[in-house]
Amino acid sequence: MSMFSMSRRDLLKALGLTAVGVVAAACTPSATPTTAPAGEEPVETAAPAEEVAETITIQHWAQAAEPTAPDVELEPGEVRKVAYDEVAEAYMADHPNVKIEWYRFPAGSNIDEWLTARMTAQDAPEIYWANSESLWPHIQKNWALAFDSWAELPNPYVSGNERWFDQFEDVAVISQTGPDGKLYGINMDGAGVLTLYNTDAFETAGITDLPTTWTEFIGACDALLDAGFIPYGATLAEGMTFSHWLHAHIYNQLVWDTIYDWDKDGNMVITAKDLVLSFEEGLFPDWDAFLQFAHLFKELTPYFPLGYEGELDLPQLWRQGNLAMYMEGNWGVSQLKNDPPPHGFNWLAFPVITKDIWPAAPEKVVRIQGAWGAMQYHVPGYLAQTDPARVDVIMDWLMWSSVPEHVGSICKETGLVPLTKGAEGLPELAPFYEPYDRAVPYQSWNTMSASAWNAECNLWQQYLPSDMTDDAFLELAEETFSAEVDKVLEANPDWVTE
Amino acid sequence: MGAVAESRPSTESRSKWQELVRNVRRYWYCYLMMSGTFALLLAFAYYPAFSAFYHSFTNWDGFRQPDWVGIRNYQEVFTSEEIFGKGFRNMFILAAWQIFRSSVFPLLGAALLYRVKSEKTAYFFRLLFVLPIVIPGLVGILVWRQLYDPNVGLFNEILVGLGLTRLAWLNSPDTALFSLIFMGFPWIDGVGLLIYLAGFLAIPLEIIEAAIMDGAGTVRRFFSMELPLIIPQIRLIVILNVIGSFQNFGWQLLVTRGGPAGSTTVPAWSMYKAAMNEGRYGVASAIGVVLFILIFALTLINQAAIRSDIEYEAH
Repeated sequence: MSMFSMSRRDLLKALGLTAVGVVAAACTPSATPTTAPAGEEPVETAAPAEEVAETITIQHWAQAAEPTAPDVELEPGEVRKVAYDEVAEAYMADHPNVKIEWYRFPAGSNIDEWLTARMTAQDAPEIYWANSESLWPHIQKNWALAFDSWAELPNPYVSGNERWFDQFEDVAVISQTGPDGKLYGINMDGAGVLTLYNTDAFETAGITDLPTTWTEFIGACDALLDAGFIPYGATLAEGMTFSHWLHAHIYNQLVWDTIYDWDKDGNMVITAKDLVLSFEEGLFPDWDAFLQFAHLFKELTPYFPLGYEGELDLPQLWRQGNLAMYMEGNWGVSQLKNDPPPHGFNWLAFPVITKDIWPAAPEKVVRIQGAWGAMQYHVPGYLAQTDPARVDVIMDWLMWSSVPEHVGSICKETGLVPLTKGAEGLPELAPFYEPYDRAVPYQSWNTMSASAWNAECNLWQQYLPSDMTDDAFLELAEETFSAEVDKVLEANPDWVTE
Repeated sequence: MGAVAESRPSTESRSKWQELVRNVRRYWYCYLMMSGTFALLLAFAYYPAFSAFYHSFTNWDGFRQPDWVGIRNYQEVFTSEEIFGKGFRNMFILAAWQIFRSSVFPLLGAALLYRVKSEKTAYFFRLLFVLPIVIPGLVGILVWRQLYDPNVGLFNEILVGLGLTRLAWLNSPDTALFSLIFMGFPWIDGVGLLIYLAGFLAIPLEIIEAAIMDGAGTVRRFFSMELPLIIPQIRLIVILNVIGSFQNFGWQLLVTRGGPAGSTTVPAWSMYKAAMNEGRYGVASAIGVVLFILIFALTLINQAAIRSDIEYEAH
């Protein structure tokens, strides 16, 4: 006897109704709290952290500071990262109603795409990482909450602290300052860029004294080339940092005395808006200095690897012993420690441009050393309307995180450079603590927009391998840059009417 | 089928409508079950397309309220050297190559396979051609990228071994596009091969045997009989590859990023960059609309141009 007394037609009718019901239920939006329309400023609250009865879960995307996931199998030589876990566990022990969860950024995802999706859905992690150069577009979309109210409060976890943000180096605070002068994030560590070099290659090439000036540097490159090495790593593909860093190191030296003329709001931060306004006034870029930068860039090209116009794997080339030098950030130290290359290595500061090359050169050491670290954290702007009580807890957790001993333990484990006063980093990063004359306040066209960065990469791809004349280059560069300014103004028409 | 339909009395139209209503009432559960699919299709296929058309006339960052700007985005698309000049040129070159390679090489492979007499041998070779389908395309692209590496890649090692100069391959504006075209050699796509093989196998054996008895050789049979009879398969492959090649930017995303110096950029890559990297969804939408119009027009042309007087239905 059949269990079903339904006819086939009745069964199909029932299945059809069930399927429609399931789809309808899945598509029904859940009740969402009202939120301010995008573009309006969020309301800040500065209430102290209150005890909330139910458990509050804070998802924190800690970026390179995050502890190793428990289920991850380590590579040979790799060390499990636990420092931030220990910091979190200590916090949760004191705050049983708070749960800190590490948000694992989806591997291979594009940050901009991910942020757009998460912010649109309003389900971003409560604390997320973003580089300071992305700040102004994020602020416009209310993706970043202003920290000012909490920044003025004392950090209860640091003895003697009267104002939370006094804990951080000036560059860390400056980097999180938006075009409107407000603080939109916290920055506990920084990033530095130096030139990583193969000491065995230098020895083979007979280089005994490290080059400190541009002329000495070119001489060293010649010696390395004669010895059969590729002297200097370069890759001009869009999105690669090489031209961005080279621009910062060279161009800043050439415009040393005028660079802060571009700082229209006087907050020591060269923002996209500063650059646009300076362009409108004819102050930026200094095209004479830009042309000189182009000449120096071209002078280096014989020392670049074959195919530098496109994407190359410079760390791979360097590890294989083919490449003698390439620019690397302090974040590379962890991997170098855990998986040392088969040759000796050390760090080299970028050479100084001397007056015989550029008469206005100040002959100072510049360094890319700023607040582009892993511990740059922001809070979604919509939380101020949707869950202000949660924001207080988030800020409390960040205050705990920023205790110098905690930052130090995380930086020592991960190879980050602390920008928190009193926090110590790895001894291997000593070159990054060495004195320099100025940290570059401006790096490249990337400061203006991602599109401008791509355009600049494209410009170098066209110019460097070609026989383009100076006039043709300047015409192309001006046309390219002007188009990028137009794009930024298209998105921010109020910038020039203020 | 070519006769012009005579005008029918209105009573016949009303009865057709009544019949439709009657069918819907009788099979309402079927339509109900299909309604979910249509709803999803509307939401995820048609709505985004109409939304893109609307936003192509706006300045929109994907998040805030869009501002109407009229045809400014289209002006930018058609005056941009990167998008229109280099992009469309590269796209047509890559599309022409894609159509050629997808039409010719799998067809030759299928034709050879069709002539293999032993079933076991035919099965073996068919498996050999089809197995690479299971390997994700991304893996293939990354392997080729490594082969092309200017400093440590296999191709340059071969050149050096032959006493020739290394090339920058994908990293030089002079050789990047050619290097992209060469990727995937020997260009026998497993899916295309199967489609063509199915077409060959659908040809009635009597026709082939009759041609053999009449003295037609292999080459004559291929060009005069087999090729015309698989026109539907060729048309399908061409349409799919036209659409795919105009929309594709996987090589640019994974390998060249449109460079160097825009030598491999295509409009689809510019569209992706405009939306995802630059937050300029209005411009991205405009590029998308232009591509849609182009693909649609070419599909219509393809339908009209590639036809045969002899088309058999599959059994």
